[in-house]
Amino acid sequence: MHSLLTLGKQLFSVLFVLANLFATAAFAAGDVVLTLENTSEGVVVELTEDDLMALPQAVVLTENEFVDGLAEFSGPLARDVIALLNDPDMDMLTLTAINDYSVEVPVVDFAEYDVIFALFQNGNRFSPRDKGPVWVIYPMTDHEELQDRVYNDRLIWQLVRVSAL
Amino acid sequence: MKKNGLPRLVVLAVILGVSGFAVLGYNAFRKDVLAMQAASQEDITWTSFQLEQELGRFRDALNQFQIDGTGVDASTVNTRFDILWSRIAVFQQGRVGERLAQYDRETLIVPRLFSQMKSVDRRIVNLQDTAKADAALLVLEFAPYADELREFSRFVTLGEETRGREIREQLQAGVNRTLLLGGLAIAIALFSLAYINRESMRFRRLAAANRKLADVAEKASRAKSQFLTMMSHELRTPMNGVLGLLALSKQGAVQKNQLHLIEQAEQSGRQMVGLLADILDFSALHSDELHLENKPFELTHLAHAVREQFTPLAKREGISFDVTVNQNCPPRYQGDFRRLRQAFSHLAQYVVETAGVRDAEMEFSCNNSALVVKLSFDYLSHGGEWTPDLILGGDRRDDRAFASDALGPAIARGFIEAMNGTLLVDNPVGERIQVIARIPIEEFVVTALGVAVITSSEAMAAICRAALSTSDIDFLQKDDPTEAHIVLVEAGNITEGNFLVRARENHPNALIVGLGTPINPDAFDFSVKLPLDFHELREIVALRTA
Repeated sequence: MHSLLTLGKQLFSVLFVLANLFATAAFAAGDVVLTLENTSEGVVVELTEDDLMALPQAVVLTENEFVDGLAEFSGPLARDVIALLNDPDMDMLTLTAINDYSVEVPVVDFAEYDVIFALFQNGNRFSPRDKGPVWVIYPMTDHEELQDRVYNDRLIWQLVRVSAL
Repeated sequence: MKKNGLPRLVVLAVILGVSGFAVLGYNAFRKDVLAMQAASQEDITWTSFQLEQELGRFRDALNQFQIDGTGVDASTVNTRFDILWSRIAVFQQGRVGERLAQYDRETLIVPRLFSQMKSVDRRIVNLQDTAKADAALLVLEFAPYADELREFSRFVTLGEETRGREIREQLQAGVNRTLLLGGLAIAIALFSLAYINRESMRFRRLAAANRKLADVAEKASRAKSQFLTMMSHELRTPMNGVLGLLALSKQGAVQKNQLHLIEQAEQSGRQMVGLLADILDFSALHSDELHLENKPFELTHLAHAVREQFTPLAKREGISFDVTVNQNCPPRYQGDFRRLRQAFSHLAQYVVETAGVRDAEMEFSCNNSALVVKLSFDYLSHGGEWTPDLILGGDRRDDRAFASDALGPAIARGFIEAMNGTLLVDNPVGERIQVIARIPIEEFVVTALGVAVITSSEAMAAICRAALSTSDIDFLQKDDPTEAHIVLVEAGNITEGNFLVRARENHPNALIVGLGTPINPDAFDFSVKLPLDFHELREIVALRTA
């Protein structure tokens, strides 16, 4: 029964990947993919995919609940991105996904760990029909204390807005 | 022993059994905890609900798209379609996807929904803002999935609740098992403690009984030793008297054949005194009551004394016995001259009597503040029973250790070890064997010599002063309390014993030189025969002075 289930899942995955390959959804060059805002300071920073790619890129090799085995994620470090807001007094951030799902994250997370705003998984750019444009990735394999539901909830994908509280 | 064997085995088996249960229980408990951790790390109820929610939002977008003025256009519908697509993607990967897929294995609602989405993908992507009718059609096409997804969400929620309850029950069972095993372990520990305590008390009683037995044996041994010592003393005193009378009888007019008999009697008497001295020494060694002297002596005198003591036996046995002193050694040392002489004499005697040697050599040398004496001999020349164990003091504890010829080597070894020395038998080279004694020893440096004279005759004292008048010597007066380095004692007559006692009392560390032929030669370090040989006396003193 279990093997049948696994086989079915694999078939489904193959079909899903093929479907994604032929899917037309993609990010157009020059489109804003991530907006940073600090409402108290009245600062808004809009970033395109090229802007995110221009920042220093980091690689995180980790597992989590949503991928099969170890996966290589790459993208700018979260602390480098929020540094663009130029507000050292920030302590909490609200990360919002494209479907308006949001989660609050302490800024100290980004200082203590190499959290990245991942754009790629195993060299493939995230599609808007998967986790794109941005998936927040914590290095969970390297830090056992991060393998907890609190941090699992912070693995927000389809991230489009970062707001300082 | 049989009585205690069974409980020990049972205890061991129970401990092993409980340990096995503890390991199994721990593993089961660990698995439960890991399952709990995995279950709590991601709430798949929320994920399934999100899929249902995003389908609803997509359908809402399609509905509002048909109504003018809502602000929802084809782009908004496409975005909602992409988000719905991404929710489907969650089912494809990771532990979350795996767990969700397990719930969907009967209805296959997610694959069917995905199939539907793929079939309308082109229509959504190419949706025109004016195509209201197509949007209405799409709403109808996706309508059946809403109820099914709601049912799926409910199924997941119920399933997770059941799973959580099962895990909690497993954990509770694990805790109960752990408590049971813990209680069992405590009970076993208490039982073991009681058992160990009982055994410990038994061994303590046994040890106390053994101690009592050892004390009794020790007392008996000490009593025997004391008896032996006392008897040796008691026998030696009359023997000295006999020797004294024999010496006196020689001074009278006796026939040559009578003189020969007296000398034989003297020799036997001396052997008897020597044997008694050995017994006393052996007894002292075994009762740790041996008091070593620390007096200056000449190394050449030691070699000479060993040669003198051994020569009669060597002559009798027809053996060539050579004693040499290494010229590079310091001339004087400080130690127990008498015990050293006895030790080396006993060694030589044992070798000659047991190894059947034809010739033997004894070399006195020094090496790094140690006196090194090498006794080499030709083994197997005439056969013989050579037993180095008696010299080396091996672990042999058979009746051989108490044989008549074992006393000499035992005393030699005992003296050498009492002086912190070592004794070894070198590997034979051909038929030649070498016994090596190495004894730590201190060199003696002479400063000034005080000489006391104890005689019954003032004339004898004057003769001594005259004999030594040329030497740098300070003769002490009769009542001078200063301790002398050398005491010249009149020997060979009835006053010898008293004079010796006085000499020992007033000059405990002095060299005792007998004037005449001593009745008890062992009591003297040296003796000079009468009529007094000035040269010999000066040589003894000169050696000390040098």
